[in-house]
Amino acid sequence: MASTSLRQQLSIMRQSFFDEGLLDHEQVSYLETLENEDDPDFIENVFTLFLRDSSRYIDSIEKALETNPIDYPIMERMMYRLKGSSASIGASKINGETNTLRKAFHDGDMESGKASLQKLKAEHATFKEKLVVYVEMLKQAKFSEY
Amino acid sequence: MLNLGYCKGSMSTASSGGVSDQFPVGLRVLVVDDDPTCLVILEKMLRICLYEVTKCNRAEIALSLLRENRNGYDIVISDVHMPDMDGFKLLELIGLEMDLPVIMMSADDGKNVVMKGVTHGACDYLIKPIRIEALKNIWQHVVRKKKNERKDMEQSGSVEEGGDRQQKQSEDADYSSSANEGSWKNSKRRKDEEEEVDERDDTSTLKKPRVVWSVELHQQFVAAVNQLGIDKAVPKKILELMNVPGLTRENVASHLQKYRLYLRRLSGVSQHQSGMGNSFISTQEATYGSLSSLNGLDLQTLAAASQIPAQSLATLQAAGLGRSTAKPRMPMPIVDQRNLFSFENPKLRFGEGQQQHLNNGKQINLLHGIPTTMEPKQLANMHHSAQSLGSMNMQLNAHGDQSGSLLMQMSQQQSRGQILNEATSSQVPRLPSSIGQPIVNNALASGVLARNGLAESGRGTGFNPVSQSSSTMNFPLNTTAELTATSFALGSAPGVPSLTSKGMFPEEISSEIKGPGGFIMPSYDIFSDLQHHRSHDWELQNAGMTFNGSQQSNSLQSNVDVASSVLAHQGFSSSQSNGQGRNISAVGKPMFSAGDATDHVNAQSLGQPLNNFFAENLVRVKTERVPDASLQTTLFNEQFGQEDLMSALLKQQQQAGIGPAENEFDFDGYSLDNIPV
Repeated sequence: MASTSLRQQLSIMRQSFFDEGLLDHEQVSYLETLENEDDPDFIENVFTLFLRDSSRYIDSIEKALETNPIDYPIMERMMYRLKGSSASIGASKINGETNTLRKAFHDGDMESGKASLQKLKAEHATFKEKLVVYVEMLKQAKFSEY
Repeated sequence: MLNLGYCKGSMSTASSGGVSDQFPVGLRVLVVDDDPTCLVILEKMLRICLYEVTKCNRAEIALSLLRENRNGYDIVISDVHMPDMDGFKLLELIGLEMDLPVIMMSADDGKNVVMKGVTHGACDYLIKPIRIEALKNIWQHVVRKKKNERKDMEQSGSVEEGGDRQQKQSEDADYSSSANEGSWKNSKRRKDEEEEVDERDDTSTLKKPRVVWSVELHQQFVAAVNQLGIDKAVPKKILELMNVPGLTRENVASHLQKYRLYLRRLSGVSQHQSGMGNSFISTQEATYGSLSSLNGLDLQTLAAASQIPAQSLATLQAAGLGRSTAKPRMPMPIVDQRNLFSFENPKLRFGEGQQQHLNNGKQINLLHGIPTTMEPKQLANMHHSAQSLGSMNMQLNAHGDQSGSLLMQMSQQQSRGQILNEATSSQVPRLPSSIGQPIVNNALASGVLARNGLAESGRGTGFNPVSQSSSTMNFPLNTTAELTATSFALGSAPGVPSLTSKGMFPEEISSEIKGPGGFIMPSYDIFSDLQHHRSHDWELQNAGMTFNGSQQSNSLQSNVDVASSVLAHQGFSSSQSNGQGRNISAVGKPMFSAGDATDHVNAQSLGQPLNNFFAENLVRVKTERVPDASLQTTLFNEQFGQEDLMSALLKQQQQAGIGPAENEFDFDGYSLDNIPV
């Protein structure tokens, strides 16, 4: 069945997120419990929001770094937001990388900071790719279920 | 009863889930976070808890929502980092103006930041990612707060006749919550500061028809109370003494209640120093204790103090006072103030943060000499200012007695504020540099200050020592020390140079600093504070607001003016005339929340009604000001009433440092709903 296979695919994909450390199992499961029939799109919405905002945050961080003088307040704010949102959805790798980034900048270590930012960007790109697919599948699964 | 918990004072809203059975179902939560993802998740969780949720992604928006609908929310959950305002500042403001429980949350779990939450008065601190379990029990904070309020009220009301008690209690409830809230609802730029508190009735929870407590009327009231002795002042006798046709005992009783609350807040001190139970909140303010000591300092000291960096100040205090600064409560240090108020307890004045009535303003001028120049630079100054104020007050007392008291209070407040401010010092309130100006005694200053800690009130002489500290002034800091910001420069002392540039607060100070009720806190430049986001000062805000009015003419205007101007103006402009620039930085809470603001300085009465308004207004002003803030020529930082300052500061900073980028980066264009859903 399409729906079964779709669900299976979803399940597999979901598991792979956990296996790869991209998403935290506990946090995601937790979020899933919050979803209910009144708001079946909760998870999708949350992921979609994250994808959109995290991209912006990272772009802002980059821009802030490039301005002269460096716009630290903005950077700090963006990093902070990224930290909070990634923690909230269980995006472990991104969260970890953001922490590293923050620490580097707080310590004044620009080199490490910049390197860390690149790493973050890469992680984020990978994560985003996968998550976008996952969200799409989620949506489809909903439709195909009925 | 739980219901009470929900409705502050006025049982307004049915939605408050007044049904005890269902409580906490329907708890009205306002959640503020600039990250959409977190906001959505939180909203979801809160809805699952069966709470009524309103989301918003900007602190300013949250504030305006709260102000417009003072009783529309039971609890606020806010993130620490926000683009337009520091979460702690918001926390302080909310505490001052609306007295709602606030939970802070953050992605940071660093100890320092959590501590900050504590010192600023957050009732809880959550680390992201947040779990629903953490949210399920937030209702306890609402109940707890209500309980504490009641207790306070009862204490203050105890002195009253039994009959009044009931009345008072309810009123107190109204007032206490509203007082703090400053939201006197209509604070929307109320010019009416003078109108005083009554205005707020419209929105306020009071259900009774209110009398407009004009400055004169309030002064009469205060005089009567003083004459009778605060402990013995019962509505009936007060009414007789006042001999105002058309005034009912009930009017007096309710006003008295507020006044008491106000005093209590001011004194924050351990109780009863003045006989009131002071519910000093003294949160952190250990400094307060010190402050009081300082009062005794000479002006010189003050002057010196002003210059002294906060640290020194603390030292001074410690030395002078011998008090343990750590004492959160300041036992009304202002002894001298007694003179001023004569009735009150000096403690009240200090109201730890509460706005002091200071207004005595008369002499506040004395302070003028003191270089309030505290220059925004460091809060330290503020502290000093505060201290100075304290001292000044002392001095003033000598002089004008009234002003002195006020000042003292103010100083005290300020000191407190300053101290509290922790050194936000950067901004060092602008204490009216020119203190020289005789600040109208307007009791306001004291009142206001007291309230917010501005203590400045009243100083009549432009001394707004508060100004510097203004931010620090007394803000009642709800939270805490942050006073720095709070120190509204309430300088209410009219002369007090508006915080802005001068440091002197123009008459404004005199304006209203009314005590909790109408404090018009001189607009001191809370700026310095603002920087730090001393939300505490916000209380001063009110004060600041009021100040505006008067400022204009340096001459000790009757406070009322100040207040109005302050309010109206956001404090900036008014002071201009005096150079004061009154910044009503008093952003702090609308003054007087104490509803009773009448405390202010006896007689001096600045016209305090403003206070209440101011509080609100301040807040308002602030918002308005913000754009103006930058306009202020005077130190940008300085002027503005606290609120404004804050906003201005923030803005400024943003603009300066961040540049427009803020928006760019900040996705201000988020479509997240700011508006309550």
